[in-house]
Amino acid sequence: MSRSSEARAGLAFTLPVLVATIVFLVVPTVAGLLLSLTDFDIYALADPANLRFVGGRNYTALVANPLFWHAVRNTLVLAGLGVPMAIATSLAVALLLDSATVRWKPVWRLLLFAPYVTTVVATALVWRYVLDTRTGLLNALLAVFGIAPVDWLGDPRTSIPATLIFIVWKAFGYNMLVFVAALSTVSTELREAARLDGAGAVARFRHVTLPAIGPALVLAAVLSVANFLQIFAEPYVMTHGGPAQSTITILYFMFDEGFTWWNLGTASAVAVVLFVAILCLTAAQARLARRQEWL
Amino acid sequence: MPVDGRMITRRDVFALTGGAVAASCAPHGGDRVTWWALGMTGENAPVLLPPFTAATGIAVDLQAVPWTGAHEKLLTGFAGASLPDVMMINTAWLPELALLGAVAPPPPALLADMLAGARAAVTIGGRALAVPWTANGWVQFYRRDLIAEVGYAAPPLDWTAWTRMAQAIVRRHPDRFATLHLLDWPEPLFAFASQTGEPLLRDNLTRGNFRTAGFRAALAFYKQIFDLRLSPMVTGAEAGDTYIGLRRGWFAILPSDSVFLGDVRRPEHAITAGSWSAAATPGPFGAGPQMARGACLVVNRAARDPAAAWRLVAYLAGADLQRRMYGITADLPTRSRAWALLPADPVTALFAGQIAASVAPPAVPEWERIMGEVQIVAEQLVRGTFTVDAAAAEMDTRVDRILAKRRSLLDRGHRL
Repeated sequence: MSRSSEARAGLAFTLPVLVATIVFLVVPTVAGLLLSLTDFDIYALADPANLRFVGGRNYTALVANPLFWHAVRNTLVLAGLGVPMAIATSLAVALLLDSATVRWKPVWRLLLFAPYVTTVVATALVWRYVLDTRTGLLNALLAVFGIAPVDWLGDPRTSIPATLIFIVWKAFGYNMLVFVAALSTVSTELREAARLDGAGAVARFRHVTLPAIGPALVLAAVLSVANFLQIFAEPYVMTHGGPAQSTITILYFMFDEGFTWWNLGTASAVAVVLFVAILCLTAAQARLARRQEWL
Repeated sequence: MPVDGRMITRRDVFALTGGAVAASCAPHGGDRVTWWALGMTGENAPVLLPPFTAATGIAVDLQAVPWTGAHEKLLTGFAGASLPDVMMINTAWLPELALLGAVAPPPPALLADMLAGARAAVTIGGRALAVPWTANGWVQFYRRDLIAEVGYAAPPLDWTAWTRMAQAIVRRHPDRFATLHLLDWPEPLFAFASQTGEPLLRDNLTRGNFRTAGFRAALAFYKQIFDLRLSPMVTGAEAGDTYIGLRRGWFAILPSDSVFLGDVRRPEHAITAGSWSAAATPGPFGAGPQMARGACLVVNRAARDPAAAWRLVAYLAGADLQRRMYGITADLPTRSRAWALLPADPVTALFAGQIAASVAPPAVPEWERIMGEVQIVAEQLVRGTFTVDAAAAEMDTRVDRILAKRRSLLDRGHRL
């Protein structure tokens, strides 16, 4: 009797979240999957009778589309360079913040975390000023060292590095906080003991600190990979995918197909492909982490 | 909180909020029209509206929308049933909105006195669906002095003679260029192609028609401009400010439209008046017709107060207002009476002739995307990925793919 009333109470408490999850997560995901099997486009928007079931044709068309592969390549470059850069930056800053000699720690934490919580459009606009060819801060700095101005966002060769600098600056704060929290759990006695046993700074990091923050590292890697594969707002605001389509990412391609040309069938297929890719990558990361006994 | 040295009382707050509520709903049940206007025109539109509101009592909620993202915003607005009563759109988007059934056909009186080319551009399936508002052509702006150096008063209008002149410019200044054809702009190629008179789509507008002798000739001429190094191989982002390039003589000829007229007025471009002029875009055997371009005003089929919406459109598309618009943004008028009010000068006269004789682009919703896709192939042609014939075939393949849905719907007997 009391068990069932307990269960009812439990259900009552979880129901709102459950309903929200189903309505806002499960239903759209399934709808996206179904949409990817149709040719929903502007004709179907005009008249639902023009909607056809096309099976896997959106997927085969995607595989044959060079622009999609171009977007995949750009995204992989961004993620391949960006994830290590972002994690290394976060870890380095967290280690600095963890050092006993640093004062005003809360202030530093706040300042370094601020970019993460600022809106991406506002910061992207500021960075566009920083990266401006003629009046930008970065080129002014380079000019001090006698380096000729670089057209950061206008040149297809520099647009990806320039976007990366911005993304890493924007994103590293979150992982930094995760690492700071993890580092605070590393026991001081263990470190002292290692030091007394003659371990150097590198050895102490490798054998004492790293195992302790391993789980945090896995979390950061999983989240960073997922985030970097879904980059959209930064190139959208900074370069509009240009120059010469050099900053088109998978999500940008999806947006263009879906909302510029209103080919929602194709766009949904891109979304499903990305979903599966991120799922597989995360599974692989989890396996790797389990082997290291970090999970 | 003290304001003006006194405390705000509860009564003040009630008075304020009450006033705001009254202001937001009381006087205008139907006397309010929402309007989206694009680009520079949209930014300048607020100065146009007070006389309208004063004369009619209709308040206008104006939202200025930048050109980038405007197309997405319109389609998303339709899907979400949040389109305004009146919209300024790129005339090339009209087939899309027409297909969606989002626009109401204008009263015929509003179209009287419109230039034939402007009128043709808003006619779909024999029916006018919008009121042309601004018109445009595609011409070549040139530096008089740089052309004169090689013995020409103006650029020749046929491809062979034009190429001879351009080569002379490059021979004289090997470090400079004759023209700037930006590789991510589809307009120059289409301006050449439209003069050949070949239709760009075939089979009831369901397939690409880019392998015709005429289009291939246009492609070959386009490619030759880069092969002979008459233009640098750059995109807009790489070229930087084109006006500064023209002023410094980096190139002598800039193909462009009436946007140029507005931009050269700006002090930062500092292009001396009289140092430049304009000529028609060269064609295979002299200048021919151009594809109609410009913006039009449409009224949402679901407008809350269609009568008020049409009054706004009638006001905006009136000859006097079009003349004023030219003064502010250099947007060219679509009414012949407005043209009569403009100061007579050879450059506007050139545009007037082009606009009157312009031909409508193929009225398919996919047209914007087709132009973009064709230009991507054209860029690859210039960069050496394709020969002219292979590029034309590739364009047909890609465009056929874009039009696949349209083809299948028409095959099944749908009326589009």
